[in-house]
Amino acid sequence: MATKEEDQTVGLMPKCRLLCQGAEGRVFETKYWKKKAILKQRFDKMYRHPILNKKLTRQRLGMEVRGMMKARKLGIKTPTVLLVDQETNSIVMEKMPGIMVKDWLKAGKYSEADLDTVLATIGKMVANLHDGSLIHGDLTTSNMIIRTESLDITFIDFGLSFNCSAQNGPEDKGVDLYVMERAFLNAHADLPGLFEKVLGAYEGETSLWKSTFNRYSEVRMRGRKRSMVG
Amino acid sequence: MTQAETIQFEAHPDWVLKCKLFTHVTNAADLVTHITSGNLPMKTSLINATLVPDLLPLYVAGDKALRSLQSDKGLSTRTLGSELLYNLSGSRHIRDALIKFGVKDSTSILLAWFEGGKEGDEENGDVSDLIKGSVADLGDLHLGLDQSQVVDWYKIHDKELTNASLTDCVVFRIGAKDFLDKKQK
Repeated sequence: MATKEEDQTVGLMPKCRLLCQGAEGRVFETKYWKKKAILKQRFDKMYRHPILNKKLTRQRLGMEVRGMMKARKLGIKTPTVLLVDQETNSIVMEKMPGIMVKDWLKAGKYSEADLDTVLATIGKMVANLHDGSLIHGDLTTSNMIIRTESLDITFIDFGLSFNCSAQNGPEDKGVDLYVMERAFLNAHADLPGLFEKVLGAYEGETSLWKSTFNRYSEVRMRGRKRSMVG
Repeated sequence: MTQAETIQFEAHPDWVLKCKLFTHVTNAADLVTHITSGNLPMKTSLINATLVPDLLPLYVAGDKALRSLQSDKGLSTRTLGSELLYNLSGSRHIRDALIKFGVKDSTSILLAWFEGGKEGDEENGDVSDLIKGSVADLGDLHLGLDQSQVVDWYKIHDKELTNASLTDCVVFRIGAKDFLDKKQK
């Protein structure tokens, strides 16, 4: 395998530089015409039957792209998808300028007022997603990009996003919020009280606060997975 | 920008897409006859320029067309030229796409032709001589844009435009075409 610094060709795109690798895929930085772009490739799971693998990968690609489309329609900023290539299971999207909210929080170079603005923006954005019955599925501070000058937030990585049904809405939203709470607690244990502010802004923005909050409290008691006993 | 642009593709080093913009075109009807009788070179497209906000959508559509040319599935339409139109439309209805993005009775036309591919397969795709109009600067492409028609055709929501440019909204739909309007297949 190529080392981290080396450029390689991925799915016809030359000069891809590996940024990071996860369990599901790899993320590269590349260029698409005149734009800086991110290439996200899901790799084949060799342990799966090829036909099943193809179907699942296609489904997941679709989930991610449709999630982003829907988020945009709800007024949430996401990267622009430039190309989806089924042959190589990759998505090319615009590279958002800025840094991860996680790093921004860790660096600590912000005023108290900036922090409040950012946390409130995140809360409102999540509320807007949820009110449009879109669940992000992986709301961590590494999946939010912030522009340090304007404090604009962009959500990325919609790979786990889905549309919730009316019936399961509160449950799915509760779990989504719970995942975000855990992410804040784990990544920013030294900065307590962040999530409470996000949740406060969420409450102010959403129109379905009661049912979501009740279910969220329930989820907190029992954890993310629902007990399947009985 | 210049009067003729050559777009190079990162993923397809053997190919280029050249384009030119014509305004005040007077013979659109003749061009349509010419196209429908199958006389247009295979790799050439005549595009209704009022629906193209920028060259980036053209790049994305061209990249997609070349990718399908190389894939096992092949092109969805008959020629590389019409494939470009089809991809540019962001829709999966070939007929509607060709009608909408074709030249019909338009007075401003974007001429685009691919060059490259296998040897011995070269043809002159530049059909500038056929078009009766004046060559314009490609940087002026946005001047002739019919924004309301673009918003209408691509079904772009107002909220999207608060966070992204019209070009980005169009590019998103072209790039993600195969996954958007299809429910599940």
